[in-house]
Amino acid sequence: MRPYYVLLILLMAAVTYVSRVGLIGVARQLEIHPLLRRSLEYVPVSILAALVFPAVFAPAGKIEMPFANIYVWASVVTGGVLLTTKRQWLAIVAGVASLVVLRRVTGA
Amino acid sequence: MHTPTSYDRHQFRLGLVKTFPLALGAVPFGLAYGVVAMRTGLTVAETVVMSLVVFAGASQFMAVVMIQSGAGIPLIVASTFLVNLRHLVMGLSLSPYLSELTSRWQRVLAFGMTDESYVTSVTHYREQNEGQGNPYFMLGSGGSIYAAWAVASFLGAIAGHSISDPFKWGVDVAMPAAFLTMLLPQIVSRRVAAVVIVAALVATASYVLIPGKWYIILAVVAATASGMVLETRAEKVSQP
Repeated sequence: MRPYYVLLILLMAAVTYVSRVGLIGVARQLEIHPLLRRSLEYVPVSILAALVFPAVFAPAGKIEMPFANIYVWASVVTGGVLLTTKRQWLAIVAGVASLVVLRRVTGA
Repeated sequence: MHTPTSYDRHQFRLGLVKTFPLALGAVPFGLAYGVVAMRTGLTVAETVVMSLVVFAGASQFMAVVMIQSGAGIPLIVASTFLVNLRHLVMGLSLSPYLSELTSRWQRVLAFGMTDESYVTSVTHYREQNEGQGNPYFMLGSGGSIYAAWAVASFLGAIAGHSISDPFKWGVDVAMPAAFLTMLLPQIVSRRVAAVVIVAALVATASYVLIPGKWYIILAVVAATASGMVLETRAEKVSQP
């Protein structure tokens, strides 16, 4: 381990940890304003949507035509299987499998 | 931290299992990171220690690419901080569920908070509807991602050149697919659907237009604000 990279890693670790620990304990120390608390209800779905949609509609960093985009179809399969069977695992496996098949078929 | 009860152990296992699809989805990214880090000239030890100590995929990727282009420590560290700002929002959103834990627990759980363990844990805590969340669940969730990330980085570093493109296996869709299966059951009202649509539009547009992870923060701010506006409107209508 070269000292230069040890220093880089430690500083990166420090700023990353600060961002993680910064507000995680905030509700223990002070009362969160009711309005903020209510708005926090929307944070998980917003983050989930932000993690799903760009990855599906712009997999390579730019928006692709939805009908030609195999990630869109794999997501449709995932959602369809989830809604019909209510089984999360089956839905994920079906989504991954459909992408593999679509890739073979389309050569993408 | 008291001695874990059998319920705690159950929660720990549940955290591991529920995060497993996301951990699997993190593997190709870990492999790719290992390969790129080695190509940049990092040693195996440096590559793996960065994963063990920093434990932040997007920042590590960015760091090795920046090293390759000749950037110095201050610029890399500052960029890491900016990429990780989204964690502040996640921490804030989790804090009501962890408010009765000791600060020691909070500090431990914070280290394991990634996009994946955050969404899994907060979704689980909401479903449980008990107000407080069991810390062992998040410990298992973070541990699952941590193990996957460390092992994948190591494999990428030692076997980098012999691995054909890890994104070709279809596992790259495992991550969005798993997130999607967590998102769909939460859309229980028109208002939440509207919030999701706003988040989706803002996130996708800013993902394409703005480098870094700002798209997550922008989506959260826009979508949460829309949710609050709709909520306030609904209240006004229902009041005589």
